[in-house]
Amino acid sequence: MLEVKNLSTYFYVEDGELRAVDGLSYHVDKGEAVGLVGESACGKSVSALSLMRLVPYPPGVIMGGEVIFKGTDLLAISEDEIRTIRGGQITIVFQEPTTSLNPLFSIKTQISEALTLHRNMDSQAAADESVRLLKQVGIPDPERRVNNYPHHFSGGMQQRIMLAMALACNPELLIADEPTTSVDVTVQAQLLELIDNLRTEYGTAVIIITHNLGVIARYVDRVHVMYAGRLVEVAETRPLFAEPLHPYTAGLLSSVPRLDLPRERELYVIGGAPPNLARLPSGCAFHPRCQYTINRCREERPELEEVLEGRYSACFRSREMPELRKS
Amino acid sequence: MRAYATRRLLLAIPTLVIVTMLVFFSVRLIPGNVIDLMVSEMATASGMGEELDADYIRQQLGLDEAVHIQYFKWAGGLFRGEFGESLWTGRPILPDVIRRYPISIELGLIAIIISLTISVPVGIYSAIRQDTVLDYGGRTFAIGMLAMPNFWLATMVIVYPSIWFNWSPPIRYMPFTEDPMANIVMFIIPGFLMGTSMSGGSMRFLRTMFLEVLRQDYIRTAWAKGLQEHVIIFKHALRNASIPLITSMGPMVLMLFGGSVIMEQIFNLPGLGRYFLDALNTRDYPVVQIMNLIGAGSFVFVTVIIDLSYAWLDPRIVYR
Amino acid sequence: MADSFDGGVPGRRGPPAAGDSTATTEEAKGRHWLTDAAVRLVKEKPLGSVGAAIVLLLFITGIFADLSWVGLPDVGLAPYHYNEVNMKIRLAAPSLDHPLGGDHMGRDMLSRIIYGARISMFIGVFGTAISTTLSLLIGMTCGYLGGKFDLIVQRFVDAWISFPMLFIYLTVIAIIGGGMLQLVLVLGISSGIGASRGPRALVFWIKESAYVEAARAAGAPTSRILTRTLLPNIMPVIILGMSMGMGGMIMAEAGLSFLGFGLPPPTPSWGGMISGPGRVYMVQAPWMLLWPGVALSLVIYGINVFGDALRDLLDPRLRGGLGSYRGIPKKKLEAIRRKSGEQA
Repeated sequence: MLEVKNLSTYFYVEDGELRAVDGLSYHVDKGEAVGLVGESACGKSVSALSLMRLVPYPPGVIMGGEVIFKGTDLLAISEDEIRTIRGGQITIVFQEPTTSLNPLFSIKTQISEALTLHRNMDSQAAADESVRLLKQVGIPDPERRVNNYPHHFSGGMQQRIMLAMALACNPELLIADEPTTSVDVTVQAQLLELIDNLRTEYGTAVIIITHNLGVIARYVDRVHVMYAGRLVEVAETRPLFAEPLHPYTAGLLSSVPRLDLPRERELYVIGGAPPNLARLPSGCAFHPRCQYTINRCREERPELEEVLEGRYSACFRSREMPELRKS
Repeated sequence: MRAYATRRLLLAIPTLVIVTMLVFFSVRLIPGNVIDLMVSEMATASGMGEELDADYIRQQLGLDEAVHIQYFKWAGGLFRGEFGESLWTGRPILPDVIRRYPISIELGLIAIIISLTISVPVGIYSAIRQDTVLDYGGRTFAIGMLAMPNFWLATMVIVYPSIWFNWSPPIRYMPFTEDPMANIVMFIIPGFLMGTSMSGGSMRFLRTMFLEVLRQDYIRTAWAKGLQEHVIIFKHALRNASIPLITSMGPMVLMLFGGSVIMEQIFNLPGLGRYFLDALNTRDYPVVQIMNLIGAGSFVFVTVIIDLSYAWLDPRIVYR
Repeated sequence: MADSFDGGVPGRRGPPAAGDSTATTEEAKGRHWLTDAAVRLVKEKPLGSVGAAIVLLLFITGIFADLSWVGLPDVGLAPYHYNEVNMKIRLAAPSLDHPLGGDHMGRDMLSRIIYGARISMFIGVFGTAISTTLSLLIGMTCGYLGGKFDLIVQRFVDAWISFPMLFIYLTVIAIIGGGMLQLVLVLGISSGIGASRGPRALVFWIKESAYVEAARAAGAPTSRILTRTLLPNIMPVIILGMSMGMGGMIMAEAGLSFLGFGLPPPTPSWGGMISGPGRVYMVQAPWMLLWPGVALSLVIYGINVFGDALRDLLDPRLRGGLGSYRGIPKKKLEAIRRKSGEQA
């Protein structure tokens, strides 16, 4: 249903040309739940925004590639055409619900906007539907609260409202950008359950962007690991967790504190720092931080290849990984 | 809401009190020999003749009794509507003020309307088409407007048409009720000049505020919902920018007072600004005092109104 | 750890302290921040450079109108002294000898305009100096002491700024009389009181800043905190305030002189030239009115444009910022892609 081919988005800032997304390719099928994982500032949010052409200019420019959604390349169509798709067929839930809602308009107004625009409802129908949507995302007393303003709600509830807004028009694809990062743990779980339920109920495909592997483990069918603007590993969830084929993924997994190991063990950290996207290292972007580097890593840049069936990795030593990790 | 309103009003009171004190005590700074100078100047020129002597002036200025007593007497008098008497004419000040107020208000209103008509569209447009040629054009225009002294333009406007077209602005004041057309003609030129010179500053401020709003996350959400650009700008962005816009009206009032002094002088309008200037030239300090009081008092009043209007505009405040 | 405390404040663009890790490009590392700003001004902000040139012109004209300050009153840019009377050129139109004409008392307009630059420069510089000093004094004291002191002083400041500035100027000048010293003091002190709120807000912000807390916790001494946090942040505020304030001062003096409450004749104040003789003789000698106004407009325009550019350069938060989600026109997009392709 969605096919991203070679997407590139650069930012032109003081430092120069920042390659936030550099040749990204993946696909999402109908009803699938797909995860996009990576450290902060690796380009995952930008890639999602690029799907909807929500990259602010200046300083950002979508440099190239294709985003084929139901047969149409979203990057090639006109402004008017992409506008009809945004909010209707592809929607996004942002990371910070508090600032993402307009403080001066009531919830009813903000949800109805999408409804009247994409589903051609009149104001009364839209108002009723808003109440139903609020109920669906678990806001108590929706008939009264639909008239409230954003600041009347807690962070978790605001995130639910954002979700309601995103689902209002029965989108084909929902992008959740760090849906859990700004809420506390109990609310995190509730939100994710909510997304999952709504997905099965409406058949909406979901792209979950996060740096939290726990979220990935439970709610996502297939995982894409991003580093420095590119994909470094793609696999289904279980196999990825069982046997990562890229050193970065392995590092990420090792970094997760585990309850079943002795407490005195030092926490594992991937050494070094994320690279400056305007001045990427030569060859493989990860090589300065990788414990399995060989000379080739410094000179050539590895491409994403199918290493095993359904498993892709961008590392020259992918096939050796299982052995390397044991040592 | 009521709590907010009362709190806001209470905060204004100490400011007003200090205003009155500043106004009152400024007169006390007048060096002694100046008073004697006033006596000699005014005795000959004013209609007061012999009654005008140093003691009389001192008494009128409140300099004869102990400071605090005089202050309370004077301030108390204000409450009762006793604004004192002009040294120059001997007449009570309050009726003169009331007579002249509408003229300055009319001038000010025209100026504000023109200023907003220019600065709002240009400011918004500059913001949404940031860094384009039109944006630079708009900003250059704005700075140009505030760089050209309005008294210079006004002077040229008065004289050059009289040379070229044999026309000059009307001199005699015509109240609106008598002859609306003549009245408008009389006010439109100074109002226009005042308005355009104010529009420069307003436009820049608005542009900055609008840019600030456009940068917010909720604007991005609006785009993500697929709303059209003009809806985003005129519904979402404008609504949020209207609060700082209203705030900017406060200082605008001060600019109006300043501008009116100049414009009324050049165009010979019998308003409050003219009254003030004449009083300064004749060292008519009671009038000067009252005018300062009116100026500052108006500002405080307008600021309170503005703050109260926030409660109406911004749902977050009422909630508190 | 206290050594690595860099003031941490977002948006600062002041002199980078030693050990600063936020130097951006390789080239900038080697340059002093002043030259860096100057270079960027010319490259990125052409309009601002024009403004800077105008300001420079003002200063050069003002300083070198004549060299009386080094004891050479007859040497300088002005062809004649501003009060030198030559009845033959009374109300004379512009000519080769007198490119801007002559005024009603037979004085050379060009020279008067040049000397006028000196006046405006004086007022601008000294008025702004007093204003800035006072605003820092009041603002920082209030911010630092806080509490009752701040409360009381702020009430006073609030009352002060409620008055229309022109009213204050006129009233005080009416009482103490006009003249250069009086004018500079009145303009400086009045605007300084109002401007104190900026530094005060900054000090409050710093006091509450988490960076300062962290620095204290790491053991950094107060002096270091002050120099690393306060100074770099206050610089842009001061510089901007000064550049904008100067324009306001010059305009204020012009207005006051116009109304007769500024510098008395024969001082060649541009504002004074516009009123009085300018108006009376407008019909016969329109250039008497024209040049002072043009000079004023030009100077204030230049100051403001320069100030704008300065602000854009000094405050990276405002630079670029987030543009629009409107989308890029196809042609521009193609141009950008091509440019990137060439560089690769």
